[in-house]
Amino acid sequence: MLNERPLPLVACLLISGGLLFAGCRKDRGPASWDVDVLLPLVKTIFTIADIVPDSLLVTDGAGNITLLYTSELFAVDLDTLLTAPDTTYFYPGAITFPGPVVFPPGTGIVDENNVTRFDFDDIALRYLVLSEGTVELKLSNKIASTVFGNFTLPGAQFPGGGNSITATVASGTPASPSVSFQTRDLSGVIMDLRGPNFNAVNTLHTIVAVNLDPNGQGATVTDQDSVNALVSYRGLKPAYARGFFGSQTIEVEPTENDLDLFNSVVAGALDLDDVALRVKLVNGIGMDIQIALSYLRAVNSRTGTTVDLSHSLFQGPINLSRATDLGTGFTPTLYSNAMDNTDSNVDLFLENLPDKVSYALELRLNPLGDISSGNDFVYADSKVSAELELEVPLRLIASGLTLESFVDVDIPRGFVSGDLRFFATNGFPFQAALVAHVVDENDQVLSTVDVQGSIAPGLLGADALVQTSVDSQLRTSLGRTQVEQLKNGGRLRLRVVFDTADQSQHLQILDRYSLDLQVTLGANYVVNGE
Amino acid sequence: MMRWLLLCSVAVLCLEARAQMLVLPVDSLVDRPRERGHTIAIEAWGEQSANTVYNELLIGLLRGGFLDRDLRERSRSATRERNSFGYDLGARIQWVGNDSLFGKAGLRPMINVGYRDVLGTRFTKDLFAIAFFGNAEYEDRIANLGGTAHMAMRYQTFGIGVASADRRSYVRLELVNGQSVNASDLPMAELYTGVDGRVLEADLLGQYWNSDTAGNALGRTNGIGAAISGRWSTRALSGDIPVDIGISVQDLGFIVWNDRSVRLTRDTLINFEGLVVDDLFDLDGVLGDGEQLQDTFGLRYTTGSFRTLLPFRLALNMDFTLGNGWYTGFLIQQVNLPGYAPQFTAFGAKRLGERTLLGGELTAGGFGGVRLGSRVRHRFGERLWATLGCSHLPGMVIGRTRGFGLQAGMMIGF
Repeated sequence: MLNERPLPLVACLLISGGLLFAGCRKDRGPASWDVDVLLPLVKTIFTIADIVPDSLLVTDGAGNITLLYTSELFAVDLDTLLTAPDTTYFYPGAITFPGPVVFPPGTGIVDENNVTRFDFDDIALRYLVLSEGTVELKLSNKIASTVFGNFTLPGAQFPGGGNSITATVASGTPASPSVSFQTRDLSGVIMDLRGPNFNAVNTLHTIVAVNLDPNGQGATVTDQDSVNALVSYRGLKPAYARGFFGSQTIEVEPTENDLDLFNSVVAGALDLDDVALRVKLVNGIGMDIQIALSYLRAVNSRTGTTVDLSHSLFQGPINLSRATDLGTGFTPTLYSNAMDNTDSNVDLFLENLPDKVSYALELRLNPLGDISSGNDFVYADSKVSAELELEVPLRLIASGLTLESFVDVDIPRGFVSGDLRFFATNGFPFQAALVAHVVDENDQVLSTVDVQGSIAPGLLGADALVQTSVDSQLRTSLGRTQVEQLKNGGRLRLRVVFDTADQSQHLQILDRYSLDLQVTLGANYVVNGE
Repeated sequence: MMRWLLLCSVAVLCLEARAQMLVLPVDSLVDRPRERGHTIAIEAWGEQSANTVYNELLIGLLRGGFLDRDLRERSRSATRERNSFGYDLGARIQWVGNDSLFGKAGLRPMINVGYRDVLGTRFTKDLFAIAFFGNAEYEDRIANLGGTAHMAMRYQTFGIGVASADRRSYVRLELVNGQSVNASDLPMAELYTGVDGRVLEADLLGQYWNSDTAGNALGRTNGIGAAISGRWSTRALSGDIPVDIGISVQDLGFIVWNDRSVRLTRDTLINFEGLVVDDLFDLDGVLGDGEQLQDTFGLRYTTGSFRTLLPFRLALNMDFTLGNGWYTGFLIQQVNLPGYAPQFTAFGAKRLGERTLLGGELTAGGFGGVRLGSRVRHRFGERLWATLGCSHLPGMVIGRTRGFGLQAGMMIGF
């Protein structure tokens, strides 16, 4: 018979196949094996909008595409023309002899019917409307009586009515003066800068008055006692100004602007059939302006070549008459001058494939003097600006025109090697060849990707338009070395070289042209691979 | 070497309940069934079998590291149109009380806690080829994947029940904690790979289920269920040979998986020619975008509760007592898992002395083909029994065979 007493249970170890093999698995990592996969990756329809943003393309009724590109050259606005510096004025109130003198209650310590003169350089303003700014009254009292201060701007209209600042300052001593600060917002204030007699400029009528408390005890004052008023104008930002803006000349030094139209082009030549370039000038300021363009230069920083635009526009100044003041806004004046292949070298200018445009010019303000009798004006959004408007019908000959793109390839972990296969149905009158390299972070070539085949152009009809799309294949091979380079931070540099199908005539690009492209992958892939 | 030492040092079993593959009969001298009071038994088992795929491949998958092409090729050359593979890993601890229950003689109380991790799958030759060699060799061909199914489930049970005085019969009700389930059923599926990979065309009719994807670690409850297990046994005479006849069922029940579980039902034709992109030169994130791929293939899961049957086991056994310590018999069983066919086991056993019972068995069916196994049960002293079994001895030493299983257990009587 078995003993009825419970026995301690011996610890038991459980087994399983997984347990048996667990030790080995830690060293080896998960099981992995290679498979050969063949699958479609992506498909896309490539149109001209993939090279040029469609916002820059205009299509006519026949489907002809024109490139319309606008780039601003320069702009002179209110900030350039007129600045109102912060200004502080001091109004002292004290006796000029030792004293003492007994001042009865209500005695005036400061009483100045004065003006504030703003420094606007050569500009003589008669009216100024502010969009921002403040005026601050600081009263410092060393007299043994409460004082009342009042600062009035008779030449200013505040949106909320009233035009003064008042302050009360408690009695003080020479050793311990009492101080009061009062601030008023100047947003929307209209200043008449003609002064109290309406015959000056840049001058604001001001009245400062400081009195002893009329209900106080009066004060005994010596030359050590004083009441000082400090008036500060800060952060003045004009919304509108009227006056005479002077006959100044603004030099626009040689300046270089980026032109992103051909950013992707790294090689080759482009022959354009027809190019039009419009220089558009806009004067939104109420003064006459002359603009003298020194030069306009197409800079291809890749090749180092420059082409200066040659046109009569550069032979004399352009006169821009003043804008019209509508009271609540303005109507700018416009100037436009178009040039094309017949009267300029604009085709060569553009065929230089510039990535920058440089220029220099001179702005002459009021070249004839104050012919408006002090009625030049400027609004906050007024400016003098110039822009280039480029109109290029896409009729062209491309010879080895090479577009470059960099692709950060996110290689799957287990990818070992493989072929990328491109299947194209090309409706463009271009032949396209692909050149691919693996490059490092400094764009230095690490290896060349083997590419076989090219994309054939669409077949042209008698009208030199593509009548039939053409199928073609292109295959690239990524070897183990290149895959490792890509996994280790390399990038794929793709260059697509375009050549028009007929190099003897300009070919029109139509909006219906497209390239259907499918990319498939045949790869050796390691499941659970590193 | 250490793992074999570990294996050999493991304490082993004796379970009357014949819960798993055990086919050793109950011997009156070795087992002394009527002399036991309380018993606590622990057992663990792990068995995998396949009808075509060699052990070397499965061992490679378990051990990790790179599986070379020759190794995979050997298993592929053995595959047929229909193949199956599965495993059953588990452990349980069981207490059976003294006779009697609530003063009623002939009944013993029983408490049982168990863990089970099972996988059953059936798959086509083409599916194996694609999984282990890729689809490139199917260029301009159709791969037949139809008839493929799998179910992987992990769950734990807590059961209470009653056993007969001789412990040969019992019934037990079980509460089931569903840890995870992952299953699929593809009655019809074909994959066409176009020339140069220009198209992948899948004709698909199938379903997929998965428990809450937020986690499936041990101890997590992603579903709750109930089950019944039991065995009825009787003794008869065949001529003058005593015959023990047993019918058993294990884990006959279900789990209701929680409402965060996911499932997918598709009856569709998928034609994939690549992800449509706007800019060929700006593919960053496109190819790795799982969301877009799911949308492209219409593989968005629906979330909600569903119910699955447990991988229950039905078994019938007959043990013949031949006398002089010799036994023979057979066991027929079926498990509710994809790829599992009825399994037949014939055995012979001999008592060695009064403490050891040694048996050999020949098995066919289940997930695999023919296996040759052996088991031994030994009594240490008067109240400790240990059992060690191997369901396919060649699988321990030959890589190019199919199937392998170990079972170990220990029981203490007091």
